[in-house]
Parts: sequence; structure tokens; C-alpha cells
Amino acid sequence: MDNNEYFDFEEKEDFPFYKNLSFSTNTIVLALSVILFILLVFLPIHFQGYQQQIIFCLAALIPFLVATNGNWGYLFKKPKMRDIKTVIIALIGIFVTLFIITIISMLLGISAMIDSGNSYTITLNLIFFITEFIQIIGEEIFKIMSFIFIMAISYRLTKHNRKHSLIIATFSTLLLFGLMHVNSYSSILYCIFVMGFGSIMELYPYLKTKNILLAIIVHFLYNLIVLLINYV
Amino acid sequence: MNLNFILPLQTPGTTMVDGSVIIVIGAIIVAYYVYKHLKNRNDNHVGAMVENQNSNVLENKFEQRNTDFVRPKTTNIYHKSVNHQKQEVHEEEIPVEEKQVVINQRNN
Repeated sequence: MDNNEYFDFEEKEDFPFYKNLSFSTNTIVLALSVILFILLVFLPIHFQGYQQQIIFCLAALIPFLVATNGNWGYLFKKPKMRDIKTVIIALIGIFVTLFIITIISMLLGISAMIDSGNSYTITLNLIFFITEFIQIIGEEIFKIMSFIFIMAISYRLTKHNRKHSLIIATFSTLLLFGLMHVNSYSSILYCIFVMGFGSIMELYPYLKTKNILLAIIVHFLYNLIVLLINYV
Repeated sequence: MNLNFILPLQTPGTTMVDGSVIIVIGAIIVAYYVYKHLKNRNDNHVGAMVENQNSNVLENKFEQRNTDFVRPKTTNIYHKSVNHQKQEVHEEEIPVEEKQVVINQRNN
């Protein structure tokens, strides 16, 4: 592939699947990663205790494993030393982005308004951190699989323009991810702008390295920092 | 700055379900694919080494054959070609005796 088709920040390795996705059984199974996750969020079923986080992860992970015949390498890669820099940049980027978006949201009168019916207390123990990490794996797989599917569609719509389709896929994925939080916040705009577009830097490590592991680490570290700020 | 975050939650007023069975089945499936991935990785590792050895042997043979078959000995074009010049230099480094052995092998 021509280097001009990549953004400067990207490592010159392409995303999986999106160029060759056709209507097949494997594609349908792969799509279940996204569909099952959405269904679990919006269906009127609630799993006991920490089961919810684990089942969210399994719903996103298992269809991916079945479709790829257990080839984890499509998404998960061994991190390199230089990836530490990417993680640090992404973490700083998340806080800067959130700061800017929160200020814009406040100026526009968009507030969090956490749904009181959905508020819950968190007990910071080992099980919480483990299940939190497991849920983040599920969330990131959902995010990346959505990204790949949207990229596959936009790649065809833009007549194989990789850069344009990447931009479309990124913002559509963030929009979708933001909408996944509508059960938690009463303001849809807050979900879209803060939880959705505000998490662009969580997606950045994957866009750069095509390694979902870095996106998971960044997402987990961010949640950890927020929890520590709130509870210490 | 609002640093609160809430994980994606499910619809309020939902039915409470015990998902233990789903988790157990799911964990078995994931464990199976982890095992399969590790097994494949080990198998491929050995396979890759053999493949590389073969391809190197084939490549070398191909290059040696080309030096004889393609070389237009009577034309000047050969001397203008950078690639061929390189091959010629490489050939010059080979002692005559070794070269003779190679030619003999080809004839056989």
C-alpha cells in the first residue's frame, strides 16, 4: 500500500478485515461482537454482581475468536518499548481532550446529570479492579470491531480512500460508544460529546499501532486515575 | 473538570438474571482458543524455520542458473546492466575450481 494512504502518526501497518469483508458466515459471526454488546446494554436483563462486566467482555470476545479461529494476533500484539511513549501521550491527551470538551459542554449548557436510578456505589477491592479490567477488554473489542465494520463500509463508499474512511470510522465509532452510555446519563449530548468524542485519545493508541492491548491499558489507567482522584 | 465516569450500564428496571452458566461456558470457550492459539504459534514457529531454509536454497539456485542462462555473452547490453555487473563481480570472487564444480553439477 502507498504510504500516502497513511496518516503521519500511524505505524505503517494496516487495520485487519476491512478491505476483505464480504457477506459471509464469518462476517456475521464477527458482527456479533458488536450486536451482542449493544443487546446486552439495551435489553431489559441485568446480571448479578460482577457478572455483568465479565459477560460484556465474553459477548465481544467470543464472536471475534470464533470468526478468526482463535487468531488473537489480528487485534492483540506484543507491546514494544516505544509503545510506552504512545501510552503516556494518550493518557495526557485524554485529560486535555476532556478538559476542552467539558469547558465547551459547560458553555453550551450540557451537564452530566447522572441518572439517579442508575447510580451505584463502588467498593474498591481486588475483584472490582479485575472485573473492571475485564469489562474494559470487552468495551475496547466492541469499539474496535465497530470501527472496523464502519471502516469497511466507508472504504467502499469513499471509493477506497483510506484516510477519509478512517476519519469517518473514528468519529462514527466514538458516537456509537457515547450512545452506549445513555442508560447512565440523562443527557444524550453529554454522552455523545464527553463519553463519546471525549474518548478519542483512548482510540489513538490503536489507530497508531493497531494493537488493542495499548488501548485497553490506556483505558484502564485512565479509569484508575479517575477512581483514585475521586476516592482518595 | 468533571472527572466522573460511569461504565455503560443496562436499562433501568431490568430483570435480574444469574449469569454463572454463561460465564463458565464462555470461560471454557476462551480457554480453548487460548490453548489453540498457543499450540498454533509453536507449530508455526517450527514450520517457519523450515520454510525459510527452503526458500533460501531455492533462491540461490535460481541466481546461479540465471548467471548462465540469461547472460548475453556476445552483447554490450550485459555490461551496461547494473544487476548483471554485480553478478559478474560476485562471480569473479568465486574460485575457478568451485565454479567448475557447479557447472559439472548442472550438467549432471
